Amino acid sequence: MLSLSTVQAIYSGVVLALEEVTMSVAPGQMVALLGANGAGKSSTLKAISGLLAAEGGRITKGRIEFEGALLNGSPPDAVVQRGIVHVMEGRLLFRHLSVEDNLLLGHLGYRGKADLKASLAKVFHYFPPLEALRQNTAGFLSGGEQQMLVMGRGLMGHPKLMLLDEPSLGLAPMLIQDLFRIIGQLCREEGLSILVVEQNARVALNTVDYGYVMEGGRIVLEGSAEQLREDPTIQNVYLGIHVDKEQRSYRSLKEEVKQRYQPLKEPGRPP
Amino acid sequence: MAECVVLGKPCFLLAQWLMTGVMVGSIYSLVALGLVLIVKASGIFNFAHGYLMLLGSLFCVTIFQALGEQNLWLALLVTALLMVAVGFLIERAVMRPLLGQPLLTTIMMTLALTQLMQGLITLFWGVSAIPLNIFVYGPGDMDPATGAALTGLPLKPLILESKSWLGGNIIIKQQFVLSFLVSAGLVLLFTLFFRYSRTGLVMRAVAENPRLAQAVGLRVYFTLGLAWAIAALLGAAAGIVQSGGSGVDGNTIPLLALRAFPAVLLGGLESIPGAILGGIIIGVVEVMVTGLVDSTTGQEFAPFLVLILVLLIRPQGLFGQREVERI
Repeated sequence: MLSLSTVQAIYSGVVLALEEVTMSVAPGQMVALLGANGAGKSSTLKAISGLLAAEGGRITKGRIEFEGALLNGSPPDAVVQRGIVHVMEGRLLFRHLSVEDNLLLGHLGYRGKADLKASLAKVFHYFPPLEALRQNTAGFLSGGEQQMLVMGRGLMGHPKLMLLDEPSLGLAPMLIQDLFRIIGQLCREEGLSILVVEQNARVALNTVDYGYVMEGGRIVLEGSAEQLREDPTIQNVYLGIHVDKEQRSYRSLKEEVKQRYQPLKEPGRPP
Repeated sequence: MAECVVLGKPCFLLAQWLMTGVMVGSIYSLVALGLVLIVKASGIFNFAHGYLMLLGSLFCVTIFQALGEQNLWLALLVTALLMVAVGFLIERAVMRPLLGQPLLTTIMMTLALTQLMQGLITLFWGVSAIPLNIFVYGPGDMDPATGAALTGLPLKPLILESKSWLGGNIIIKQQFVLSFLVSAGLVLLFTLFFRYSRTGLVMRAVAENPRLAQAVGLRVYFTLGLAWAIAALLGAAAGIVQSGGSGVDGNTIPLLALRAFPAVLLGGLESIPGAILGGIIIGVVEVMVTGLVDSTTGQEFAPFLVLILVLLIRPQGLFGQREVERI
C-alpha cells in the first residue's frame, strides 16, 4: 500500500537527510522503523507526509507511492486526504484549544464525508480517558493524555496509514505498554496500517510485524519482528542484551552494523 | 443649584467627553481588531492596515459616485468583494513567499506595502479629500457658516437631558453614535465568528501552530488568505465609518490606524477582547486629553503617551497571551 523506492532527500539544498531508503508497508501491517538519533527516521516520515517541504527539504530521487499514486512533493493536506496521518514527535497539539476542539480540527482536516459523532465515539472507545477531558485545555494534559489526544486527533482523519513518530518518548513504562497495546488493537480491529518510529526497540519489536533499521540515511537491516529480536547485532545495539563475552563500545557496535550490512554501492555525496 | 465641577471642568462636559470617547474608541477597536487578526493568524504586525482602510473608503466612494450616489448598499457590497480580493492577493503575492522568514523581513514587507499603496492611491485618486455623501440633509440644508450645501452625516447633535443632575445637557454628535453602532456590531460579529465558527477554530489553530495545522490536513494558505481578506474588510469598514463623517482623506485615515497601534499594544497583541478594550481606552484618553488640556492636538499625542507607558509598564498588554504549559 505504501512503498518507498530509493528515496533520497536533501535539506536546504545541501544537507543529505536520506541517502537511499527503500521500504514498504502492507495494508493492516504494523511496521517499526528503528535506528539511532539522526539516522533519518523522522525525515523518512516527513518525506512521506509532505512535511519535508515545510522544513526546507525536498525529495531529490526515488519514488514514494501510496495505493498506486505518486506522493512525491504532494502538499501535506493532500496527503492527509489520501489517508495518511502523520502524528509528529513531541506530542504536538493546539495547546490553547480544548481537547474537543483539537479532535474537531482532526475531523476538519480530513474534509471527507464522515460522521463527527461516530468519529468521536471511535476515539473515546480506544482512548476512554479523553471523554472526561473534553472541555480541558489541551496544553494542561499529562504526557500520556497528550499522546492519546494526538493519536485520537489522527484517528479523526480516518487514516488508512498512520505515521507515528516516537509515541513513547518520555512516558512511564506502564503507559508505553498500554499505548502499544492500543496501537496493536487499532491495527487488528480497524485494519489501520502503522509505521512507527521508535527509540524503544524492545517494546516496538514486541508489537510490530516487521521492522527496518536505519543508519546514516539508509536502511541497513530489515526483517520480521522475530528475526530482528533474534539478531545478535540488534540485541547488542538496540535491545541492550550483551551476548558477547567482551564489552564493546557503542561506537564499535555501530561500525559493526555498517560493516555487516555493507551498502550495495558507495553512497554518492552531493557536491 | 450646586455646580458639579471636577478637575476644573463641569461634570456634564466630562460625561459628554467620556461618552464621545467610548464612541470614538469603538472605531479604534474596529481598526485594532483588523490588526490583531493578522497578528493572531500569522504573527505579523501589519503596518499597511491604514492604507487598506483608505483603499476601502476610496473603493466605496468611487463606486457610490459611479452609481449616482443612489445605491449605498450595492456600493458597500462591491467594496466588500474588492477588499476580499485585495486581502487574498496580498497573502498570495507578498506574504506567502515570506513564510518562515525572520519577523523583521515580513514587517519591512508590510512597510513596503504601505508606501506602494500610498503611491498607487495618490496616482489614481490624487491627494485631496473626497466627501462621502452617505447621508445627506434634506434639500436646502445649509452650513450656517459658509452657506454651502451640507454633506456627510447629519450633524444635528443628539441632546441628552441631564441638566438637573449634571448641571448641563450632554451633547453627542450623531455621526459618533452611528459609527459606534456599526463598529460595535462588526466587532461583536467577528468576535463571535472567531469563537464559535469552525472557520474561526481553524484560524485559531493555524495561528497557534501552522506546521501542525498543515500536518493535520487543514488548508493553511487558504486560511491565512482568509485572515487577510477579513482584515481588509474590517479595515475598509473602519475607513468608511470614519469617512462618513470627515470625507475620504488620504492624510487622516492612515493616521487613524497609526493611533490604533497603541490600542493593540495596550490590549495585548494577540487578544481580541484586549483590542476592543484598548480601542475604547485610547478613544476616551484622547477625547479627555483634548478636552482637559484644551487643545486640538490632544489626539495627536495622547495615544502615543499611552503607548510609551504601556511599553514601559506592561509590555505584554492587558490581555497578552500567556503560554499554556503544564508544569
